[in-house]
Amino acid sequence: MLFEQSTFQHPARWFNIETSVREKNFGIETYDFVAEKILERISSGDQTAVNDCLDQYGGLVWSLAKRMLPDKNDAEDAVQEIFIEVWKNADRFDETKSSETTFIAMIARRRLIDRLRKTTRQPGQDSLDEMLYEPTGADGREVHTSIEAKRAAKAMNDLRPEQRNVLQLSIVEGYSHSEISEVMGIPLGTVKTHARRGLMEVRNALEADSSRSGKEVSA
Amino acid sequence: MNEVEMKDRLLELLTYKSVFGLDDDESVELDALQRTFPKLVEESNFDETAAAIALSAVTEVEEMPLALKSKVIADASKFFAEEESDEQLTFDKTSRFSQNIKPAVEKTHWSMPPWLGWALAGAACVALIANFWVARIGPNEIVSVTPTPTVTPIAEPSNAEKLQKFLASSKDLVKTAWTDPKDESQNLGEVVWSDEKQQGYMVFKGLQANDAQKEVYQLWIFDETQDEKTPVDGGVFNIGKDGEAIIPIDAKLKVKNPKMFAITVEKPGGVVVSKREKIVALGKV
Repeated sequence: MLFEQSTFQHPARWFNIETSVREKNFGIETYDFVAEKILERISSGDQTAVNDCLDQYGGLVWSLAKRMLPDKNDAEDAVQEIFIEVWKNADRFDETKSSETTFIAMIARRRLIDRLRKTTRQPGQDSLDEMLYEPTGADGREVHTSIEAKRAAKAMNDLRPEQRNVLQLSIVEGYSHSEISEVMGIPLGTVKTHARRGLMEVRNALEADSSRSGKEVSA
Repeated sequence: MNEVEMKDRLLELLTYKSVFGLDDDESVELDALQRTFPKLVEESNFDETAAAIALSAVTEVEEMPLALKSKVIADASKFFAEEESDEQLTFDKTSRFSQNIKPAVEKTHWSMPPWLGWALAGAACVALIANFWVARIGPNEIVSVTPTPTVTPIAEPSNAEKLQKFLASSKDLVKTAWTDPKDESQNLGEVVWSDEKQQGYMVFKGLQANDAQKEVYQLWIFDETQDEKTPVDGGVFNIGKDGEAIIPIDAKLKVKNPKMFAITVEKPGGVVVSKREKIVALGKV
């Protein structure tokens, strides 16, 4: 039984809560069990896991890439690169540190940031207001994202607006600090300060949430 | 910088890395600090936090296009095939020393027996000696020649195959489209480059065929290391009647962060500095 595991004792393990809570709340034990084993199967050389991985995470990676890279061809190239990285790094996945979803999103973001830094971004058609934070599920099309993503959404909502906007433009939309400085009309140093403090606050909130949940589950 | 300041700077760089990415200087600085405070890095969790924020904004997951999925699957097949072949190679090398080690993945394909490499090497030596003998003594003095075993040469991969492998194995690709400078809407193909590998390829579609006796195409790479007046020579090449070709880039100097690629028409053999009288394609990064 996953509920009896002691993985919630250490704050650094707050990402591992996804599977357990999913089981408890949604009753989709089989689905999550299979999903959580995909990277393990890939790292052991099971090539049939490639299709499962694409079925499970392909749409998510594609959506992240399209959001950060407006050029479709660029986004497609990025997705190919991201999955090569996933195959290469599958054996580094540590289920005590994060869920598979977060692990794959981390790899995706690294590749996307690399790509963004090599290209001069042309801000898209959306207005600044449209790009800035839209709470998850606000339009009723909520997807079944991980628990940590939902917690991150809540933590983002609790940030000061300028911190939230900087994190939104950078992490979600892929803007560089100088672009954000230009778009928001604030000095570069201030952009960096907001990014740093905002990210730390979200991290601390996630760790605190996880710690609380761990205690609840243990009790 | 004292320890507190160093830790503070490390956390600052870790957050910037997770949010914006780092430039080369910052990366070097981060590497040094990470080595000093590895535990702090391990506990930072900034990458996970940024990933969770990115995931939190995904309100709708769009299905990956089928064509893209096929490409990813093809990439995976190549990746795992290369992994298997690397593992097999490692196994063959180490098996002489540790017979008990088994490969992680059981191989189902044919693998070369260990003695065959030595046999082929022996055959090659015989062929070399025979060749030397013919060259030194001359055919008229040969009374009898023992037939030498023939070794089938391994086919050189095509440029298309090399390009695929390059694309799959390069992490820092710069890619841009070739356009006709007279009509920028006209796409003439693509160019890809990797600073890390110092390699790249040009793919052309619809470029006019050249008469190699009279003129050649020559690539120029404009990057951050060279003045605009003296771009890096990327080599000369020809285009056949169908106007299509995949050409490996042959950069004469180290290229860093290319900004633009240009193709000029030059005299056979190419030139050291182009007068840029006839520019036929541009690839702006």
